[in-house]
Amino acid sequence: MQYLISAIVFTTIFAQFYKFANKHRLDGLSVNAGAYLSAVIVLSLYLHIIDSPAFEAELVQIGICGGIATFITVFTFFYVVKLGKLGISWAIINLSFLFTVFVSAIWWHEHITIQKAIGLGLGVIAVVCLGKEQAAKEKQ
Amino acid sequence: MWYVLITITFIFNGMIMLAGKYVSICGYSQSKSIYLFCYFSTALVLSIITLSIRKQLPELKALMLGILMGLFWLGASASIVTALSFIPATKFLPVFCCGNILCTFILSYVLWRERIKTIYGWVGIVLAIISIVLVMT
Repeated sequence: MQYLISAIVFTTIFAQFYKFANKHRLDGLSVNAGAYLSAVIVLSLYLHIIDSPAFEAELVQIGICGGIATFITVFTFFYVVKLGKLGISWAIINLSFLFTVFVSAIWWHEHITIQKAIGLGLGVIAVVCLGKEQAAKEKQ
Repeated sequence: MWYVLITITFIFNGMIMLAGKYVSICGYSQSKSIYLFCYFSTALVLSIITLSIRKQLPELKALMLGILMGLFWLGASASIVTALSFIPATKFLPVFCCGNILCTFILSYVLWRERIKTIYGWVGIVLAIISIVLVMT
């Protein structure tokens, strides 16, 4: 539970930094390069000083795939925002959790109860509504 | 063009979460630091290549802000990978996404004085709370 809360808190603060960068019209690519750089420095220090597990080939491959996916997501998102409305784009991107949920349910047979399915459905409607709210703010 | 780009972003964003899930499913959550190192290193290399193609040095102010952001990004990524080894993705991801959106709205109000202007905003917040309760219980 504490990891769920910390994930939400860290991501929320991170999003506010993005908002700040956007308001001050800072270069997105430079911002991201700085973010990746600091994460790599901290992880290098961590791996060097505290914990040094073995580099397993499969784990490295997943990490590289994750890194490529992150780069493509962030890179294309800048163009998505430039071409379309931020609010609608933001809502659609937030809905991408559905992709992972469906794959987890099918591939790893994670059980979805009726209550969870209703919760999921309401979550989708909530994201769409909040996207509309964001789009209304942009109009003003 | 927008539809193509949004579809690419949608799929790849889903794949990031899927990669985190795969790490925890395969029992690699103890060595998540290796996964995160490869993850951020790859993204850094691709960013450097893109910056050099653009023949542009990174803006210093943006780079400094990015360095600060990276710490939170790392904290979030580590928390997500760890959480996914304890909580099923079908439970974690909806709560994470709705909770994230709710907290963003609250923090945006506190920091930027952004108020909820339409009925959709309030409906969305109420539905997000109900959704979190339904998925978590």
